[in-house]
Amino acid sequence: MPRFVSILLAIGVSTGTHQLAADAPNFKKEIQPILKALCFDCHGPEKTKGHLRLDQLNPDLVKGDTAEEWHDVLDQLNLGEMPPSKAPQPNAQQRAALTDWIQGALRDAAAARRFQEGRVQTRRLTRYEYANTMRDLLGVNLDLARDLPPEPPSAEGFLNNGATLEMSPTQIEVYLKAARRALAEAIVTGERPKEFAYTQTETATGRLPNRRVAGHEPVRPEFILDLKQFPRHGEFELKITARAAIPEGGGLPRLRLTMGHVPGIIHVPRGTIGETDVTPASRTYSFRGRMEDFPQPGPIAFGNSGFKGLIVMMDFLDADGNELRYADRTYPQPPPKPPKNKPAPKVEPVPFGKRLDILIEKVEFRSPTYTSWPPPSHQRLLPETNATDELQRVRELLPAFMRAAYRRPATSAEVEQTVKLFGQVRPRVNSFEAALRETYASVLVSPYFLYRVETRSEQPTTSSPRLTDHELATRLSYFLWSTSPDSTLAKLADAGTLHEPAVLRREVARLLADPRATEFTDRFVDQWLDLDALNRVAVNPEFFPSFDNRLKDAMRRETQLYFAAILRENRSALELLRSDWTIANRALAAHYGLEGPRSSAFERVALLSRERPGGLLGHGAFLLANANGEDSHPIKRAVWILDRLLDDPPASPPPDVPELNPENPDLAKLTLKQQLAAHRKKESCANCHRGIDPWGVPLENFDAVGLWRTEVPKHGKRPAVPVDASSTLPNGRVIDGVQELQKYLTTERRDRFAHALVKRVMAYGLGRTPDWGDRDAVETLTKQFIESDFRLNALITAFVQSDAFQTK
Amino acid sequence: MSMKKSWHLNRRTALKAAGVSLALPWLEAMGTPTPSRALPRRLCAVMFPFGIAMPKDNAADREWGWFPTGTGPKDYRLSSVLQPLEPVMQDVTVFQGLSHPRCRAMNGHDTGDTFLTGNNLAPVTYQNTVSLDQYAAREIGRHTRHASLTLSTDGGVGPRTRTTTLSYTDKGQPIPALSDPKQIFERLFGQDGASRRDRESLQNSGSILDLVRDQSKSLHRHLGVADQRKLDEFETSVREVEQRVERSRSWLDVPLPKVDRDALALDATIDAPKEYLRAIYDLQFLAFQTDLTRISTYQIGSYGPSRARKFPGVLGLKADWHGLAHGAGKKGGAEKIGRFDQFLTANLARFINRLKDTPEGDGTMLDRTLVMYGSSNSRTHQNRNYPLLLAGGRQLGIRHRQYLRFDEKTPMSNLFVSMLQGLGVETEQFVDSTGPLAGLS
Repeated sequence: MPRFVSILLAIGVSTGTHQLAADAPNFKKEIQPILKALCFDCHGPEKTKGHLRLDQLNPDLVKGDTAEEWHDVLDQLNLGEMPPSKAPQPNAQQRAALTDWIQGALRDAAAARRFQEGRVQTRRLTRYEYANTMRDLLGVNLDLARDLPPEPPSAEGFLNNGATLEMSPTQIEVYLKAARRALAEAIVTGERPKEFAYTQTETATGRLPNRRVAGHEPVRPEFILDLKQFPRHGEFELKITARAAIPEGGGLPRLRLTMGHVPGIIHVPRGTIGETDVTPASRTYSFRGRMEDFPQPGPIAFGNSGFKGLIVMMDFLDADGNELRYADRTYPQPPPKPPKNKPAPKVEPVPFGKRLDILIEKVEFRSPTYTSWPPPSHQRLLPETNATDELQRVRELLPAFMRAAYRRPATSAEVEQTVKLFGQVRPRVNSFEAALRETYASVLVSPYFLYRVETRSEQPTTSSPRLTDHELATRLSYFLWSTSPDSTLAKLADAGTLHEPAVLRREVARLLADPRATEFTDRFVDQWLDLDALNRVAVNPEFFPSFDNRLKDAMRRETQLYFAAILRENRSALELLRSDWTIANRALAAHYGLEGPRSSAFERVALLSRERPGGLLGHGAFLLANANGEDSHPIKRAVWILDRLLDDPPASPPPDVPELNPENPDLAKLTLKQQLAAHRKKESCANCHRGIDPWGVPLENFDAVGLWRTEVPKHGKRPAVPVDASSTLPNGRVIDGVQELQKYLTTERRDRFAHALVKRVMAYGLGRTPDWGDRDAVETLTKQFIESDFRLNALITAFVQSDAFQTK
Repeated sequence: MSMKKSWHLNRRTALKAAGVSLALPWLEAMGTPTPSRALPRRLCAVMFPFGIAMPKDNAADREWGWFPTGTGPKDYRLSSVLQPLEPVMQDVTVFQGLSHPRCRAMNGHDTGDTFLTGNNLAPVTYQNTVSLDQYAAREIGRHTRHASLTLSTDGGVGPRTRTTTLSYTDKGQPIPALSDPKQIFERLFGQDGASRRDRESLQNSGSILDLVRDQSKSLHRHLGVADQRKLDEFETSVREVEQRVERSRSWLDVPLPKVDRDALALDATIDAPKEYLRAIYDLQFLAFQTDLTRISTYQIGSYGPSRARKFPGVLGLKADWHGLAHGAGKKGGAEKIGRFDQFLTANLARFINRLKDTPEGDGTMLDRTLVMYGSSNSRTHQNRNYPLLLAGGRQLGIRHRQYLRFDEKTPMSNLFVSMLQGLGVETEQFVDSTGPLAGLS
């Protein structure tokens, strides 16, 4: 028995519904007899229908090239096309044996092929890695990834997988453009630009669209700041001094800022600057942004509009994010004319302090916001040198810049090559700075910058070659910070000591303790758990009239922060499966029916009720994203659990999936659970679904927006029925409801969960799908992770120390 | 309190802002730097996912099926879904029965990738082949500033088998799509190549790309096989951009056409499907009208995760497009998806109308533009009998006002061959074609 299997058995990892190759049934003994009985008559020595001889089709998909043929066989079986209806049919066991074997063999063949072809080690930076890296390298904070195409997710949902990350001409164009845009900000010429500054204590007024027209929402700001003249470009700062009036025990009201212009009475193009809670004590809130990121009027006045400037608009919201609108309020909008013969109703204005409200005391705007001239970025990228001529100066500047960009020292040949470019560019432009920008831009579109390069070692080795210290620093930094190594890591790499276990352990601790580690918790959780799916589900307002779509963001935050807290507080990762707490802000807590948070800030909330279990299975992000916006969706939820939590994704559905017969008048009367049962009765569907559905049914107590229910509401002809959350797992285990599912997962499936989490952390940290060569590493790390009592900290530390992390 | 009356507008500007009127004259002077003075031939291909409703002919809700009734070619009656096309039927042919034979056995959700390529995706690697538009762009794209324009609601390329782009290079690599109207506008009309600075910048780009390609070549030697393949992507991309830079330089003395950006709903986002779809069609129209490109593809939604899944919900229908498609066979389901499909048709009809309303040569723009529209599913998950139609191209030898029905033996690539021939791209075969499509010319 191969070694990895014995390790696997030793620690008792269950392998889920599909089997590993070595455990798989013996083809000759168990599979071939079934094929012989059912298929060889037409696809054998006597007849070879469809030019297919199953008696001769090589069952070794790894070494042979028969994967495609076997894939066809699987499809035909699943579709129920073969054996033809007149011929003897396989019984359920035979069918399952065949499909399980083919699926397993196909999976092995795919994994083996990936491994044989070599791993993709050279990974392009993802959009967010690129944006972070450029920010840290140049010292300017621009939204540089904006125009880059979104990344395709890998099979496990990760965006940083080297094999799926691609390059296209469009991207090269965007990289070059972004480099030039950033360098134009970072390296400056000429005089300090004029600053525009405005202060207002009273709102401006004017005519703004106040009805919904042609899909455009009305604007009814509480306070307007006029920017009659403004820079079209550069950073701005807005300082708002304000205080709130809050009735006893109420949540903090919120202030929302938007900026835009007024091209017509139909709509006001605008972008959101930000939102903040406002406290009863007067405070000054500061916001920053960039002028060019907001809609601006064209350089020529539009039509006969008198106002060519920008406006900053402020809206007041209650703690749940609903706009505060009071009938007596004098909005900046002139009030509508009362209908003829009907006097306007008299409304007494309510003084500030009597109800939930915000008072704006002062608004200050200034742009651009340079604190020094030239700005710090300029001083960093273009420090004074003693060089007397330009070429000499470039020769002195480039090594430091290229060191930072390439994440390793540049060779002198590389520096000279780049100096040569400067020589070509210089005569075409009118300043040293302009030529230097172009020269630096070339470094920022170099493959050494855009890719994390790990070169092949020159001498062939029997074992995998180890990473250099520079490559190690890069892997580590992108794993935990999604950006290039900082100066500490760079120094350790230059000194060649980073790989020493004690140094590395200290660095992992330092990186995890740094605020930048939120890059890891946010990105990893987003991708591992597919939180983006929240944005792909539309909640149907007919079914959930009071559901506020902004809750989706809060749900995403809940899951991200929950994971981060477990890591930071060194709690057991099993709390991802079951706990008695969560993290929520006021809006989300109210949605869940919990008490505590008063503001939009997230805080820890204790869960005392059965109806709100702690852990991912009780998170709105999971429950809503894996529903359909109207009702729960046991299949989606099941697939998510199997794939994300147990690393046992079901095979994708066969082509031409037949639908349940909609003519069947009985079907409409069934609940979803009953419909699923009907679905499973069809032999072609049953194969997969009896392994899937039972995992989703225990969550039936949660509706499409993640709230507890005891009754499935009436729908069409089907009357309301009580929730039935009991289900029988493929292994015969009966599970009734979410609590039992959680208990089952944290006891009997805990090792499988550990195995899954280890594999996903590895996939994210390595930027590739763990393959055959990683089997030992996965099992060893799983074992260590379990022994550490499921501490994420220990897992990350062990992973970074492992050969898997430190070799190519 | 200071009362400032700062922004007042009259009705005319308001109308203009709503994008009501915009008629650009055909700018003869703009032309192309190539000596060819022939009028342009254009191609636009649009796809939507998940298929349509197909109630039986005697069903009460037959009008919400996509396909016309009747036996064709002249005996047909449009359903309510295609009704918005009635006024332009003299320029439209609807097809029944066509699909890509090689894709029929693929997963029902995988065929968005192959809508314009006609090939089955290779197992394991999901390698694709060149798409119709890029095949045509090799020839037609040489005449314009942009060889082609690739658009989709979700942008980028998306995951394999659920891609968010219809366009594939010669090597079968997906081409990232643009999705944001503002971004598309900038790409088309943003950079005016006339200034001295642009000239310098293009020259510099040439030098920079040269250097980067050298670096890439020397790096190549130090990489493993799989990494080399990745780096090839990089090198090919750099080379392509170098060619684009060259092309831009040849366009330097040709001023960019001026268009009024305020007349387009560039701020429309995917959350407002009506305005968004209109803006995207408007941009394609403008790109054609100003001859910045002659080829475009546009994928509405995708078979995978897509923000466009919410479109029907915003229009007051069932929230999820995919769910709507699955429910098409249920009672009342045909009308639900049919109404949404009708909305999509109305948007298409508006685009066709704009092309038809714009004179060009001795006809209209539509006479020289082929607009193909459809889905790669009939019933959802069924990769057969695509709902398909072709509009435009009367001066390219295409016959219209008909409903052409085919059996399963006729590959959809025959339609591609007819279209390519109409576009003047000499083609005998495309993937599995057996000839041009009968009855179309």
